[in-house]
Amino acid sequence: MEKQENMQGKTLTDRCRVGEIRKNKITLEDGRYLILYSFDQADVRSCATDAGTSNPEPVADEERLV
Amino acid sequence: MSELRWNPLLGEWVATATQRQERTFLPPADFCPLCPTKLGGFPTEVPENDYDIVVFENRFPSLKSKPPTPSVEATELYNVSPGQGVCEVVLYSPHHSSTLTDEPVEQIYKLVQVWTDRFRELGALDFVNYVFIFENKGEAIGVTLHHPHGQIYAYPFIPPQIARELDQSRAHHEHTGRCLVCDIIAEERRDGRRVVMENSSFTAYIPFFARYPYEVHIASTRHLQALTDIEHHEQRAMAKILKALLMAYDKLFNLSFPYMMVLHQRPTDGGQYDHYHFHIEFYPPLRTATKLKYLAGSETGAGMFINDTLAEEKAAELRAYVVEGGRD
Repeated sequence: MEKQENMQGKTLTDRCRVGEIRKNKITLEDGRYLILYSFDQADVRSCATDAGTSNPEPVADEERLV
Repeated sequence: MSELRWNPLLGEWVATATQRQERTFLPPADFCPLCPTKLGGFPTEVPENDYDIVVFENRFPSLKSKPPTPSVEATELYNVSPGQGVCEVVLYSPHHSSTLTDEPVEQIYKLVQVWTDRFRELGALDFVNYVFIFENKGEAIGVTLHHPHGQIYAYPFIPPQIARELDQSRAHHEHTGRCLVCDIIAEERRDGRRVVMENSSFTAYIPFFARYPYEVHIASTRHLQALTDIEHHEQRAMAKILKALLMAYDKLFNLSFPYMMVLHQRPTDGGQYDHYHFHIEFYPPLRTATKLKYLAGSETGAGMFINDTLAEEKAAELRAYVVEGGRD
C-alpha cells in the first residue's frame, strides 16, 4: 500500500486558508520553519454550529466549566 | 550531533542528541524564548504575536529532517543510523503564565485542529513512519521552559511502546474479531468504578491496569485510528473532555498538576492498522500533593510497574472534581 493512500483529507498549503484555519509558514534566519495558525471568530461560531450547540455564539468557558 | 544507535539487547533505537545539553534551562519569565518578541526586546523564537497557536522546528532537536552523518561507524552488532525525523514545538498561547488547563475550550478545540494538521503533514513525509504528539508539563517531569507548550516528534520508525500496543491490538483482534480498546472502553463503562467522565464521543477512565495513581486514558467512543478520522463535533467533544480533566487534575491538590500527555495514533508508514484505536494517555507523576511516583529499580530495570494505589479509589477522587460542563 502506498503511503499517500492512507492519508485522509488534504494537506494545508503554506499561507493558505482551508476551512477554519489560516496557516502562515515562514522561514527563520537559521533555516527552521515557523507556522502561525490563526482562526477567525466567525469560524469558531460555525464550529459551534457544527457541534450541534443550540446557541452558536461563543460562550466563555468559565461560564460553562467553572 | 544527532544519530540513532541500535540497542540489540532490547531491539530498539536510542537517539543521541548531544546539542540538547546546551538547551535553555528554566530562564526567568522576562527572558522566555517562547514568548512573542517584544518591540525593542531580545529576539525570541516567535517574531510575531498575532496568532492563535504557533508551531516551529525545535532549536535543539533530537531528530532532524537533514541529519548529519553519524559520528561512529556501524558494526555487525551495533547498527547506527542518521537521526532523521522532525521535532516540533507547539505553543498553546502567546501568554507566558497560561497553561493548557487555563485555556478556554475554544482554544483547546483549535489545538486539536492544529494537532490534526501536523499529523497529516508530518505523516506524509517519506521518512516519517510515526507522528508522536505529547506534552510534558511541570518541573517534576523535567520541563525546562514554563511557557505553555507541547511537542511533536516525527519518528522514522514505530517507537517500541506503540509497536507493543499495535501487536497486542492485532493479537486481540485476531483472537476475538474485536478491537482491544473498544473492549476496554466497554469493560470500563460496564464496571463504572474507574470512569472519571464521559461525553457523547469520548470516555475518560483510570484503566484497570493503571501504572500511575492518577493515570487517565481518554478514548474515542467511535472506533477510529487517528486525529484525521475525527469529525468536527468529535474534535469539540475532545476539547471539552480534555478541559474538564485538566481542571479536575488542578483541583485535586489545588496546584498546577504536572503530567505527561501522549496521543497514541496509528503509524503513518502506509500500513493497515484498522485494528488499532486512537486514544490519549496521561501519566501524572504525583501520588499525593507532595510525593512523587518515581520510576525506580523495578519500573526502570525490569519494566514492572508497582502502583501504590487502587484505580477505583483514585477515579472516585478525580470524579469529585469534574464539573458538569465537561460533558455534552
